[in-house]
Amino acid sequence: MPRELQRSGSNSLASLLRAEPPDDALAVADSHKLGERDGRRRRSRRSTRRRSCLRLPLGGAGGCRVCDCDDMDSAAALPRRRPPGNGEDGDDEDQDHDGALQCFSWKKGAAAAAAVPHRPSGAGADAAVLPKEAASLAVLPDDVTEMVLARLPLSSLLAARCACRRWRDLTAAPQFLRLRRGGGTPWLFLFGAGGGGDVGWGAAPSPAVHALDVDGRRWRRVEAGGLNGRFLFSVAAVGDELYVVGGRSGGSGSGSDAAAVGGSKVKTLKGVLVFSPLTGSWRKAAPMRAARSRPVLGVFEMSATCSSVLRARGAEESHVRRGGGRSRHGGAASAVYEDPHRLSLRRLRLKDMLNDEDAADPTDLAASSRDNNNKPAVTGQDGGEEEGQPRLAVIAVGGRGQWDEPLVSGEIYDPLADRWVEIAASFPADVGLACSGAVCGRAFYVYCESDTLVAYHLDAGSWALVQTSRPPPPRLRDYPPALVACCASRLFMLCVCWCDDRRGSRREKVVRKLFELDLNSLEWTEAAAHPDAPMDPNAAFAAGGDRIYAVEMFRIFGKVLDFVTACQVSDTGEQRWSRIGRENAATEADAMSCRLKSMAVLHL
Amino acid sequence: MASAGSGDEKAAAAAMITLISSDNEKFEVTEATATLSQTIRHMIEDGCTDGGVPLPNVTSKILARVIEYCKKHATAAAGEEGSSSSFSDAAFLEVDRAFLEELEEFDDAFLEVDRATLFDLILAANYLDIKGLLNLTCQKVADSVKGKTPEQIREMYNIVNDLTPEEEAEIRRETQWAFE
Repeated sequence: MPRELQRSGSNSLASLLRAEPPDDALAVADSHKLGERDGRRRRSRRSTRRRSCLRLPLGGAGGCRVCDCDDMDSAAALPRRRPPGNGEDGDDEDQDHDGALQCFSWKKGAAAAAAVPHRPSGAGADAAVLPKEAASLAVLPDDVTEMVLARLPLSSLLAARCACRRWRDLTAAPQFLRLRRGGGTPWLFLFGAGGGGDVGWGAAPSPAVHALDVDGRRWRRVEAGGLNGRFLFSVAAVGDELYVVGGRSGGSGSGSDAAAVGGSKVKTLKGVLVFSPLTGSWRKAAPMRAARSRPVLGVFEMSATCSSVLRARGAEESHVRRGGGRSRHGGAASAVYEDPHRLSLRRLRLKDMLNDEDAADPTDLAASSRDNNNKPAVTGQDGGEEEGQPRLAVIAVGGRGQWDEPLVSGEIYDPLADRWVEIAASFPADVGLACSGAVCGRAFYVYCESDTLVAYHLDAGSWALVQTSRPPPPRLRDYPPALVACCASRLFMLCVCWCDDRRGSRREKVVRKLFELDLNSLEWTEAAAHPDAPMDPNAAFAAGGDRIYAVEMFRIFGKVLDFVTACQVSDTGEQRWSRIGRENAATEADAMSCRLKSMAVLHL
Repeated sequence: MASAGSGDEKAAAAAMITLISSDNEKFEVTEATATLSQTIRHMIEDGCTDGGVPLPNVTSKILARVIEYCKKHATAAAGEEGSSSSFSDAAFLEVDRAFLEELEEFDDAFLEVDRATLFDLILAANYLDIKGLLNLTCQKVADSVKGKTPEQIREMYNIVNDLTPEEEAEIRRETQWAFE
């Protein structure tokens, strides 16, 4: 057997790490007893051999992969780099042995280094147990296990999470979720109210959440305990979480949150709840500044300009709150109350545009010198930005306020700072209530009741009326229009129109159509017609990736029917709707109210 | 495999590389085959493959299989270098169709092994940093986990449930919506 090969398997790292030499090391080191040593060596090598494939990775869990891809790459390769004949002639057996074990355990640190060398003593016993152990997934180091688990679809992943503690910890870790991101399949989350009753007509609706695994074509019921009797909220998908924004609670007999609701009075809410399907947990986010039911939501990626605008606005608002404005300004600021401050806010924003942000503080307000609490928070926020993840923010506009009055104010939520900041620019006048909105490019488009399209420019922080070159298609008023953005840069609107084709039978006179707005020529063009007759005036729509999903759910003859369809948006012009199978939908989602749906798509 | 800077060494080392398994069996492979492994590739670039490459973590049985895989994929892998670690074997999709199908068949047949061997292959692929093989084997394991209940997973893979009943109940409560 070529000695130098053996020796080249030795490892300087290994010798460094060798906290406790294996028990045969001493005998090996004794270079006089050649014969005995040879016998010994053979024996121990046999055990090494066995261990090296089956046992080692167990001890060195996680070490090898980390070695390979990290800067520790050399740790694995180093043994061979070392020139042979380094003067440890008598030691080669020992090192061979050790190197095999310990180059794996390098990253694991002292704990593993100390633990692994103990193994050889029990080699015989180990070998007997090995064949059985080998079939256990536990032999795989953490990073490889992660790679395996990251390939699982969500439902299997969550099942695997229950298997053992190690898997639970692995799959709940942020880096695992990051690894998995982008590989997910679409899930529709349909939020609604069970009980089927109309709001205010008696029993308060109880919230229900159902998730449709689009690929698996199965509806599942999601624990909605966190919703606490809320309804008329809006839902947005932010990263891999769902934000439930605003809404109302109360109504007679609700009882679920009686203290907050205050008897049977219906209350409009500011609160924001976040549901993370991956962990199955609900949490509270900072409440909005104004109570809103059915606000129009958009989710966008925060840019540098945008966040500096926000930061300046946040600083300004905290000044306002600090000053005597609190009582007047309140939290529930509708446009009326916001007005007096608008001028100063606008001034501040202008300064910000001129990159004068820091100077704004001392000059603008004398109170700023006292406002030191704000500063540390801001710097902490900056630190978080460096992570390189797309930083998502939520914009909420319109909705109805405490007294059912339509709101025209808007606000932006920065999840990193956990804070809502009011939009300073005023919403265009005389466009009616905001119906639906979507972020497309760097603008948040809002379709209003008067069939006008307005856009909030996220970076500039201003509202503008979008003058479409042709008037938007005439639509039926009973069916609210829905704006969705697909593939990040295409804007679509769904509404119900009269059918152009007069030859069609009477029944087909009304049809749900998909229009696309060409963002250059600003012209609406018909993209597709929905195959189903529009039975549900409150159909829910959401876009995910390059697909637009529609859920129609309505009660007919005392029976709930539901139709899930998807429209694949292609570049080649024609968009087609296709039905998504709905096995067991009617049974599992039958409690869903027909009136109070909202939907979001997550890729999980 | 067009990596700049390794030209000289490539020319010198050329032809064959000797790989030595943990039980001291020697395998002669072409450099194109060996460089599917990033680990070996780096060693070749550093010029420390003279006298063979000892692989103390890989048995001859597993090494033989790994080499079998690498030989098959060596020709296909020409364009693989530098591609991201995609979830599928997409890296190989650039080569011509017929060959691809053959390759897929080969992969399927290649994976017809018992679990212990499969895990050994994963570990070897991980140690040798062979992306394609690692993806292939991980996917195989993932596929076998797919659609199973926690109990089935534990039984299948001999996993000891070390969660307390309370902990398990909590996880189940949180996650059951997705897999019940």
